[in-house]
Amino acid sequence: MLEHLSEGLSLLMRIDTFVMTGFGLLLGMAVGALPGFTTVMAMAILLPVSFFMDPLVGIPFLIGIYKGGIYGGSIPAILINVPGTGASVATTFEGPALTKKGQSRKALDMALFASVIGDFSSDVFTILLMAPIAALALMVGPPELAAIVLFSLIIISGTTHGVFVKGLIMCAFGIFLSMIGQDPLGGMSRFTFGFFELKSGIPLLPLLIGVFALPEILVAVGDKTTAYIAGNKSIIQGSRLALRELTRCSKTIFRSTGIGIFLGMVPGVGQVVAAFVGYAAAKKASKHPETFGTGELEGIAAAESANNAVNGPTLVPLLTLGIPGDNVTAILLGAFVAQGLRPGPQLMVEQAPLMYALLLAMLFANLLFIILGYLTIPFFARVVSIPKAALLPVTAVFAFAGSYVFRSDPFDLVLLVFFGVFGFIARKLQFDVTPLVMGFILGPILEYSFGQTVNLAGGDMVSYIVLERPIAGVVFVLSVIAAVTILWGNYKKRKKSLAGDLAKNHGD
Amino acid sequence: MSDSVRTSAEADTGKKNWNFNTTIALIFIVFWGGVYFIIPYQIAKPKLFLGRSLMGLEPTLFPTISVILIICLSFWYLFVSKTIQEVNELIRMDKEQIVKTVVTIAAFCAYTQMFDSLGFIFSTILFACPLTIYFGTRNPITIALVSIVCPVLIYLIFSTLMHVYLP
Repeated sequence: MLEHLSEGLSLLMRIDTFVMTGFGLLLGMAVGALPGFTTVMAMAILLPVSFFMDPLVGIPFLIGIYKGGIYGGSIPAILINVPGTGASVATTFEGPALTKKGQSRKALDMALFASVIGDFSSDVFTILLMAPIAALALMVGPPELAAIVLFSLIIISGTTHGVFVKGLIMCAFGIFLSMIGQDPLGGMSRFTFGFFELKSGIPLLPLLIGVFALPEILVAVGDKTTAYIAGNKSIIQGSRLALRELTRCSKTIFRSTGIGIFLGMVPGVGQVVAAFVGYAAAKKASKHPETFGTGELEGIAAAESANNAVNGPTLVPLLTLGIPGDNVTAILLGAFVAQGLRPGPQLMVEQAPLMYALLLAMLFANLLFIILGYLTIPFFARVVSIPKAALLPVTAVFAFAGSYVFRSDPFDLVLLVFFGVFGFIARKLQFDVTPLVMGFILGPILEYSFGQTVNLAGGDMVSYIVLERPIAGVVFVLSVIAAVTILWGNYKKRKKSLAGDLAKNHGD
Repeated sequence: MSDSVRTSAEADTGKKNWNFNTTIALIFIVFWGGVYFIIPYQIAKPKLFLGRSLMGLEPTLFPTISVILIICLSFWYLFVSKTIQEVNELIRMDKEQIVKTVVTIAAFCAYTQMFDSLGFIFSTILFACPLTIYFGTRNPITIALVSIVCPVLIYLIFSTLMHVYLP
């Protein structure tokens, strides 16, 4: 591992990687600072830009957008009580109160330092974890892979926004979309409905940009808060964060980092949950919990370190098994595939120095981030007041140009608009599109490994799994247990909600 | 996960046994039922060698399993739909929001048509300029920046820096 790390370090020592990572960080911060513009949207529309760069430049560029975006979301959360991204919702519990007290600069500094410490620690953990998991992943055969993919899809469908069955339907729909084109085993044409353009299947890029970026634009078009955001003049006030204030929160930062790292390893959980859990744990552990909600720096440290600590571990299943755990890693998977790299155990063996170089790029991105973030906070604080009306058409143009350039096929634009409208309607009807994207990406892997398993089993699937591949059997049973647990949780939640409504009606 | 689940007072559950989720579940059952029946016509048949397929696995097997799974999930969705309390944000959109959304989608469609035939820069000017004004920007400098400078910059980034073709 040390040998691969040193080789990776020598690969990484190039100026263009650092320049593009820094550019990605600044772009991410700008997008995160704009309420209504998400990090995922920025990554989706800038994904095609990374295709035409060297992997060691393009992927760190996207990682920079991701890291910058998660922190950038805290800027409007602190200054104007509008979270720039979902991950910064918990930051609004303390940030605006600190701004009211005239301590917005302290709050922004704390958010930056807590983010970088959380992120850096999680990246170190990820690097250490990568080698043993990759070694284990090498032992994974088709039956185990099929079971792991099934398990991931169930967890992703259960942990994303919305009702479980709706998540599962979207996931299954994604799998169906992945079947359009050719089957991965025999190359037979299927579900093309007479369209020549569909013979090679639905390309990932228009789907990703369509469901992640265009609905954001369509929602923002009808968003009545636009004028309010545009009219706000945010000013940074107060003194900078003192070292003793940072050290006072160190215990909280490391606790939240641990929470973030743990939750980051669970597919689909993500930053939002981590931030809430980190904040709640800090409040519970505090000697003065009554100060939480009134402008407590510790609350910002807790939420920001937790949500950023998710960043590293989410890459573990992607790089070791080729399974993206959330929408951000799904976009990163798109970047890897376009660069001719198929994440998975083989890639960790064949291209280990490159993989370690990419992981080290994450560490360097954090170091760069603390410098750039510290210097540019006042500038990004002004970004929150940029009117959306001017940015929406630019975002749309980038989305269209990005979808077109990969194949230079006008049909991709048709698919882009189709998936954009589909994503918008799905969102309005409370369907989450993340399981759809995961189903689309993991569908071919599931189908291929399932097909190979059927062939290997030679007609007696149950005996084959139970007697010869018990690990696959265990993961399959775990999938069923996970589904039942999620269902039970949903049932209890619904029952509680109905009981509350009944009590309310009786009270009326 | 609970963000979308509202109390019944907020939700569109005026008709206790029927809500938008029930309607969607029924549409899904009909749609995926239809897809199930067209599977044999939408999947090419494998070539036979001495009367037997050379493929170990029938090409229809995985699609059939998937579609049956979606149909089962749709029935489950129908079954639980009456207890789901969610807001149908689509029908809650007011007239202004509907008009803005429809106009934007129409602009997307028009841009899709113009993109290849008129070329990137010209089609983008025709797309971005009216849209920027429609979204409420009145400052001519901002309009020019968005609709002229931006497309030229994007074109230069892709074609000159990355050597990628844009029409």
